[in-house]
Amino acid sequence: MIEVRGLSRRFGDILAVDAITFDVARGEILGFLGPNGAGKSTTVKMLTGMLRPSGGTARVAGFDVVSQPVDVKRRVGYVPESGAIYDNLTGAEYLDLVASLHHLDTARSRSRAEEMLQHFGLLNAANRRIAEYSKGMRQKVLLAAALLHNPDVLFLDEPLTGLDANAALIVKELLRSLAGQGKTIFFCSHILEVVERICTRIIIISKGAIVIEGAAADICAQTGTATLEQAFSQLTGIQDVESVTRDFLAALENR
Amino acid sequence: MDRTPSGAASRLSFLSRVGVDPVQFRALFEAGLKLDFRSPSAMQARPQSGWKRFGSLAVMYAMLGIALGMMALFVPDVFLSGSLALSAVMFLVGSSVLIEFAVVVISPLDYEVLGYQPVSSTTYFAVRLANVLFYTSALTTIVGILPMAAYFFARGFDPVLGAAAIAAFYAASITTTVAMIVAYVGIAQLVHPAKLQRVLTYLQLLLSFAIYGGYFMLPRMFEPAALRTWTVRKSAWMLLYPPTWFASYLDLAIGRWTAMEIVPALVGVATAALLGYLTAARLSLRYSEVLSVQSSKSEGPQAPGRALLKLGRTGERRAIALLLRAQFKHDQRFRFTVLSLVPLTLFYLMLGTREGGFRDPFVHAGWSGDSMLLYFAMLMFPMMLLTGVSRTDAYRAAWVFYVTPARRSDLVLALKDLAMVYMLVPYCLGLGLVLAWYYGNILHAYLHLAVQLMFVNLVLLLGIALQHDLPFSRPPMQKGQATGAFFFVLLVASIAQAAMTGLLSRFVYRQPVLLALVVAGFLAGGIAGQRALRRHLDRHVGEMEFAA
Repeated sequence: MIEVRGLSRRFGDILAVDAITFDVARGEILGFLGPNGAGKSTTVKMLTGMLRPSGGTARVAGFDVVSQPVDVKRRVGYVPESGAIYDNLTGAEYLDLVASLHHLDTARSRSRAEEMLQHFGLLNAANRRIAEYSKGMRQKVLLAAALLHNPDVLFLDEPLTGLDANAALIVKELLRSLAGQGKTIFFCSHILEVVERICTRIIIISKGAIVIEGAAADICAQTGTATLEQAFSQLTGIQDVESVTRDFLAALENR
Repeated sequence: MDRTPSGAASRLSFLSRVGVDPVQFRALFEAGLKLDFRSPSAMQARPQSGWKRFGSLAVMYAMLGIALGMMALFVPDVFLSGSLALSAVMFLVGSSVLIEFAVVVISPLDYEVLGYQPVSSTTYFAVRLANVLFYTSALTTIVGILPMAAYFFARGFDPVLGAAAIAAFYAASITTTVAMIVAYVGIAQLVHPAKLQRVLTYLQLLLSFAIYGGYFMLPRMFEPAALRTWTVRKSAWMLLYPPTWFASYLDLAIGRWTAMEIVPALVGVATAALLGYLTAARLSLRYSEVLSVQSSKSEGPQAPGRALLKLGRTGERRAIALLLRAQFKHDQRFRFTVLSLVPLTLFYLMLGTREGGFRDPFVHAGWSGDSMLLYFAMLMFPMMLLTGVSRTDAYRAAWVFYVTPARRSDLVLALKDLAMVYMLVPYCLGLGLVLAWYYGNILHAYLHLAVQLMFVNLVLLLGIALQHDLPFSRPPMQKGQATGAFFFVLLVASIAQAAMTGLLSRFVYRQPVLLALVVAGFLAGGIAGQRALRRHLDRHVGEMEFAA
């Protein structure tokens, strides 16, 4: 469902994504991990058509992201890491906006939006401005907007940010069910426990390049670590945690 | 923990005696000034640094100061000239506190930031008051320096009158400042701050119209020589007008010591003291907490507006209509960009009617300069809207245009269509009635405006071809960022419009066949232009990347 071959992106002299290659199958939940600035969001932006690749190719839902971007966009849903949303719209209006941009039938999209807002416990707030929403409520609107047109592929960049435990539980279960229905889910998160639990396969990138891929257990076995967290730390070159902590505490003492 | 050097604290030790922490006072006062001067005014179409914003206000006020100085010098009745000058000062200080520096008065954010810090309400009050007085005193100095200086020489060299003028100007300014604070914080407790901000936008619109109008109309109403004969007879009713309380200081300074001077002067002092007390009670952190709670309350459900959405049932036009409506309602900067066009239009209309009205171009060959302002407005307003509409604080949310299958060229063109339908058509319908009154022929008025409208449509297509952005997708314009292409098109188009209007009137309007050909040409040009522009935009806007 997602085929990436030698995909690169350069910003001036900086190579943000360095010729990455991978596939994601239909019904798969792929965890896409990496430290800050590793190139995760840039990859997602290229796959959703927000950025043009500097090199390589990518096909999503059978369409090329460069030559057939509109066909790709009809089939993908996206929750951005930034959580950026037009605050001056109400929740219902934002979903109406997204439905219009997808050319969905107004009556049908409205009833679907209402249903989703109800499941997320947002129906009473549907006609209030998003500016008045909590972070979790905004995230729910973004999730609803990503699902509104029933996409084949979902790109979720930190989708659980701000959600309370119950809402996060619903979303995680929803993702499993959607994958069960054959949807492909590209899941970026820093919450490694969640990734470990719901993703069928994981890719870790660092400095724009893929450093490892496989199931969580395979990654731990390959790196000789007990947890995904330790594997991540080892692969992405983080300094010795204990020594950083010691230095930090020492700085506090030097008042 | 580091502390501010004790020398600095000792210089502010007088504050300690009134319960204000001098170290906190200095830190918060300096931070307040930095924040105020770095944040843009919510009302401005393009954000400016505080200094630039303050600078533009200062230039305007200094110009007014020259006029007030002339009045102080040449009007023989110091009570009259003082009342007029102090009216201006109190009006300007009041409107500045309400509109430009409302956020300085009290910010709900203060409670979020300072609520858990060891800052007493007394210190908070002192800082807020000092911040506001800093601005209003500076404005008073700028607008009042010339009139205050003039009073030293208005009746020969008279230092007592000059000193009284200084006292009157600053007392009036401080009293107005604290009065506005009391009024503002009182209203803000009852009305949701977002609603209050909207009301303030409309108020600023009215004030800007009054100021623009005043600049142009007042010099036409009075001859400068008439100043020397101005005088006023005092009455008890007149003394209900606050500027006269402070103008009474001037009468006292020249030796008029009757109840008609002493009582209003005392009322001024008493009012300032009372308002000072009320301000102290309101400008506290506790009040900031109340305001914070009020701000976090919901404004309530938003009524779904249907009129704007009828233009498109689905698709890009509906999406843009939705966004435009919401942004107009809640985005101060965008609303002010649009609304600021209204007083300009009225002003142009007023200028046109004052200079002998409008001549029917079907009857009188050639063009009338005053009418051209009205047609120019048809060009300028949508151009300004199209330039301003891409800029918003919420630009990061424009990712939604990049990940959905919306045709980006249609998103851009939807803006132009909406500007035509919701801005220009109503404008032309209204203007047509005015012109019909002057022409005595409603058909001529609307035909003429229809031709102008078709011309404007072509210019807008050209403007978009040269400079195009997705709506609400760019950060607010920064200093140095130019909208050169749009203004170049505006300049060239306005010259072309003037030439075209003259040619139409001289050669086309009297020949129906020729007129029909011209209209058909404009229509065909509009349709072909729109198609060509869509193809052009598909190539250029379609290639754009999400840059936020």
